[in-house]
Amino acid sequence: MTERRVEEERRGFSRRAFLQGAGGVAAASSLTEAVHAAQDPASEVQRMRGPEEVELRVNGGTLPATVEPRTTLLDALRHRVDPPLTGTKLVCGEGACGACTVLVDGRPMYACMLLAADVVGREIRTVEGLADGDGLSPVQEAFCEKDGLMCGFCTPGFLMSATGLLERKPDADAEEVRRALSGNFCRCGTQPHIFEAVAEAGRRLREGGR
Amino acid sequence: MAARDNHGTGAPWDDAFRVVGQPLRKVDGLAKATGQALYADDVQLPGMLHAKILRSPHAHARIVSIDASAALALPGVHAVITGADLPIRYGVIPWTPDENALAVDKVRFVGDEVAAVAAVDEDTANAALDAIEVEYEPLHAFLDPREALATPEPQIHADIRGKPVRGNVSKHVELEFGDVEAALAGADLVLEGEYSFHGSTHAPIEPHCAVAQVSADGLLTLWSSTQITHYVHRALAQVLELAPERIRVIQPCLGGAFGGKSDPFALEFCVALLAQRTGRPVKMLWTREEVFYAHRGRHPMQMQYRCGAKSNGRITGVDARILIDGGSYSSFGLVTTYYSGQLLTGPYDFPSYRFDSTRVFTNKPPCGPKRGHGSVQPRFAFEVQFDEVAERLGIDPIEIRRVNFQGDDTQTVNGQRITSNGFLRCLDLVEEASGWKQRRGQLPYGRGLGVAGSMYISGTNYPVYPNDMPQAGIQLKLDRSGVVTVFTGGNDIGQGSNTVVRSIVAEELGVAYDHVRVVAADTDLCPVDLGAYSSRITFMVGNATIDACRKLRHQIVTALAEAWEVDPRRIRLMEGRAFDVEDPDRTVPTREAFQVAEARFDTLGSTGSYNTPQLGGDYRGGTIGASPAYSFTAHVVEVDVDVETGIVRVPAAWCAHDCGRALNPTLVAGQIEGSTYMGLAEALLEEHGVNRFGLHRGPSLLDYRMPTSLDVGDIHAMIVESVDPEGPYGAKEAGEGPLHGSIPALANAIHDAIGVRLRHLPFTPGTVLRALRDQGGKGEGAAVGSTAAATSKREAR
Amino acid sequence: MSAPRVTVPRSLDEALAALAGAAPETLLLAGGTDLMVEFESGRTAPRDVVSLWRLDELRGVRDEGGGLRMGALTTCADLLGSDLARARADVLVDAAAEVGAVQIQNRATVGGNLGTASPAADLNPVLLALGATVRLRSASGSRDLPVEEFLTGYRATARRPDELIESIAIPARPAGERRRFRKVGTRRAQSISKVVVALAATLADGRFTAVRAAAGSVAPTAVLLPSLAAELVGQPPDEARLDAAARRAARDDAAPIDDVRSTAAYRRLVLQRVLRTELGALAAGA
Repeated sequence: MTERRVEEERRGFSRRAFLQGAGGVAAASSLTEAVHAAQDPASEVQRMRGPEEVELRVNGGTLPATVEPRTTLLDALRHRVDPPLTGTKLVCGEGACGACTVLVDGRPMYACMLLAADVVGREIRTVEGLADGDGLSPVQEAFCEKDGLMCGFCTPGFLMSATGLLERKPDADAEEVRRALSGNFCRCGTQPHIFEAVAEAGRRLREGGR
Repeated sequence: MAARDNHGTGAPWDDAFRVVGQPLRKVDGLAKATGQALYADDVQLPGMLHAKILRSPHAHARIVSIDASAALALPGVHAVITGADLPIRYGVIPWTPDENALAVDKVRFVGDEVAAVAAVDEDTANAALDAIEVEYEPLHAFLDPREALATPEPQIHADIRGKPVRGNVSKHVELEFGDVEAALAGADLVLEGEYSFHGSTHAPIEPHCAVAQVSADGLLTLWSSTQITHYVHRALAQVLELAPERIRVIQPCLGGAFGGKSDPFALEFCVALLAQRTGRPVKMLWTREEVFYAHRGRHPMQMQYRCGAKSNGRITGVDARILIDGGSYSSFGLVTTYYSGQLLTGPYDFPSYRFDSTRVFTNKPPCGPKRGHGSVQPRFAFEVQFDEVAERLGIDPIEIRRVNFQGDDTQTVNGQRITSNGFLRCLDLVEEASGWKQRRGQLPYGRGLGVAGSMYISGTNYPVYPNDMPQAGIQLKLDRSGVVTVFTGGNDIGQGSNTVVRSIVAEELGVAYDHVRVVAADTDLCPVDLGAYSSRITFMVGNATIDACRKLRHQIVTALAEAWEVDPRRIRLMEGRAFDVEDPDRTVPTREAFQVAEARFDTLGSTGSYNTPQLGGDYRGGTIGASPAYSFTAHVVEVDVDVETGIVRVPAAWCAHDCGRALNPTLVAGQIEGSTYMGLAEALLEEHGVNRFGLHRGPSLLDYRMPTSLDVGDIHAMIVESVDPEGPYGAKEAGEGPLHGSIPALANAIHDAIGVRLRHLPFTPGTVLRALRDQGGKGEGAAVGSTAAATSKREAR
Repeated sequence: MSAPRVTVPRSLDEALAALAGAAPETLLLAGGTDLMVEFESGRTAPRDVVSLWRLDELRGVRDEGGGLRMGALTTCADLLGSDLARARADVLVDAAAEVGAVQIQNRATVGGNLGTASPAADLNPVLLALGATVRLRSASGSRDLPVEEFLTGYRATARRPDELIESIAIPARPAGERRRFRKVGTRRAQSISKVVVALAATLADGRFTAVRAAAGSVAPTAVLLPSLAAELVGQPPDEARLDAAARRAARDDAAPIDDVRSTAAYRRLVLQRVLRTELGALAAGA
């Protein structure tokens, strides 16, 4: 135990050692190329190291994306689809803050904690998919009206969590709202306005909004 | 020169405001609610490279050698730079340039930047970092500020700007106003106590990010998540030895800052140089962990206070000794050291006051300005001690704060000019709203109420680097289409400063709110503003905006009056129309009024500016903390202490804040709530500290525990409008003041709840349980932390 | 450095085939709520990962002998939405509600809690207290292990490299069994527990007839608290007896450490207090 703790205390900087970082379309990455050369062709069928062309169902459409099996959904959305969907934000990368929240089959999940390969075929919704031709969704509208945003960086994540809640339960009470939003951090301290906005959006949804 | 013209504090047209005072939406709300708002990390340029930084694993070490050849040889790596490439030192305060973008000769904290790599992607850049060989010769690392103070060698900084540093002392300020010893001798009660404030950090949701691009003609463009575009521009020119006209700095939409983005940072210099070296755009996005190491957050302080009072509660004198743990670099530390003393002299009248503040260097992430820069810690200590004074004298804690109220239109003991002061109204409001009279002392064991008061600056007349130019500038451009474009150097960091600017223009020129476009924080396009710090933007940029608008308004009114052959005093510009107040049928849309004016005066535009009047005491440092107007705040916090686990919850807090005039009450309420939220969070949940090796104890958002929506209690924001003669329409700051009192009010509430005085932050569950145990049933005077420790700390100095 | 290898099987058989002959350090990824944190920080840098998320065969909650059988990929949200789980394993559902936040609950799985064997995994103490068993499956067959035998130490389990957790079973509730769950964390969501306690006990004729208790975050992995049973079984729930039991369990059954989240002293003290409170509530029939 003690040794482990000392080791833990001495541990230097974190550096992603598995998940793919930003930049370079996979094919352009020298690392990936190097790996291809070294790969055992026999395992090619089932086990993949290199990039793979997949189709992601996002916001009602189908988006081709070149991902590695170690590419997160967040990374795929921000960097590997065309056009890039940068509304979903990278903040902590470890499922704490909620800025990367998307809906997967209607359920809020952290895109930084999902492998893109694991959600192929699932219905993904991002902040870009909330508004439709008629304008903002009731949740978006309420966030603007009640000033439920300051710096805005956490806002897409909050919008997705709130949408996930209200589409399932438009009459959610105050405690349920707080609970549903507890996986999203707002550092500006906008919470009172956000709670108001979600309550207002719920009202509108119940009154037959979209 | 360029001091504020007297525009008065009233509405520009007749008696009533049309736009100001309305809870209008944010300029950028729609973009933020749709994911379209563009932040630095959303900037993606063709051919863009990704950069990463190699950081020191040692808290203090000499760099013997760096070999980057293996890294450079990796396929996909485009450039590697080290301290030798960026040898010029900088610092946000021009008197203390002690930082290098990349370490030269030595590293001073775990996390200090050593080398940077640009590569085709982050993975390749990370692999390259692993391939850089650095040989270090470790030095003794100072992690305890007392040790750093007492031990001159090894020095963390030998000299700054050619001047030798005394041991490891970053800054020492000792000032006395009046005769404190005599005042304490004449008091009926003198309390002495020791207090400490831990480190906490901003943790803005957006991590730092910068993107640089060099155009074919050699223009360097930097997009950076900064709250000080202008200072970054200056620092880049200095460090890169590049003519300032070849640099353009743009702050895209910014995801929170709170003071954490108000220094020039290594990543800005690195991406700039890497872009120059590679000829390709370069982006660097810091990981959450790197943001923790970059820090510049709240300084830990160890504070001894003595407070003398008469039996009627009147303060006779206050004496403070403060040891400030600065971390490894100066940052704003010179200012911090002054602020730790200078900003305590309100809202109460101190007949005499002395402070002796010493900031020392330690081998930890550098501290800097976090919301309520420099004055949150002393405010905590003083307000807790003041509460105890009230208790000892048998005076209600709110009443003793009333008794000592300094009044408005007065001067503090340290020579600061107080104009408006709505503190009494603030006290009344929180007393009433919290049910203080009925509930304090009456709640069941474990629950309690506490109060605190505070003041803060609305910018200062200390412009960071001395110059005679305006602190804030505004440029307006009127278009024939009816659109007014405002160019402001002010940094909207989420507080809504662009929205404030828009409101003022809409008010002054009578145009529809959405006909005002705001272009901000782009050094090529916008006149200089010094940036988002010291709660200065609404006050200074607001005044500059009014200034610019009045000039244009004069032209429009003159042109229209000539065209209509009426007295210009009859012309009004309101709500999208121009009209004759005595013949309202004579009216045109403002668009047409603009066209009439353009025909009469040529292309329409104007500038406006603001500079502070001469302020401050006539002594060295007397201008630091001297503000054209001070905000005042009162907090009441309610606590619920679980004596089984020591967990403290805040079900409710009331904050009344005197912001002069609320130009947009929704934004002001947001600042009050956000400030109170942040203060309570750092007092109860958050801690920024290092372990015995100098490594951050929990550099992640799982371990740095910012509150979730289930932890945030009901925060009741109340606005007091004292209408300050100096502010734009009477406005003062709202972004930082409402943090201060939340922490001592919490401590005082815990005392009301369980009879224990907590003098050492943070109030973790373990601290609370220990305090309860030490209390052993006796309530009063049982401080946590022994007197023996206090004595030895004094001796150590 | 070469890129790691990830296998994404589409069926249980594919998964078992992939695991047959897998390297010992091969990591199984379920909801990723623990492992993705490890990956992000680089604390864990796997060469081989098998992602199980798409194996819908491993989802779902069903009756088994009056108890409950849960597929390994059953998420906290699945538990929260299951009337059967609520009826059969109320405290497990209570614990699931306290895990992380909604986004985590939509991903964190019962099997993943066990598989990573984190000392702070909130579901594991409950599974221990309820006497749950783990069904391990490999290409060559399956075997069942009690949770206390499955969890072998700090992030260590009895799973062989060729095995995966197929399901977890909770036996039928003994008649009259009373249960309590309590999590102590500094913040109310997204909280890594300081102390977690789960209790299951029966009383007859004013005496404890069975006591099974477990705790999390107070030892290298979730642990049973045998001292409680030793002190209490056959005894009436009087104040002094409950005091002594809580004190002894906190002293003898826990081995907490100091870390960034708490101190060993705090954990031990609060474990004792929370045990005492919860025993009192349990005895009172709450």
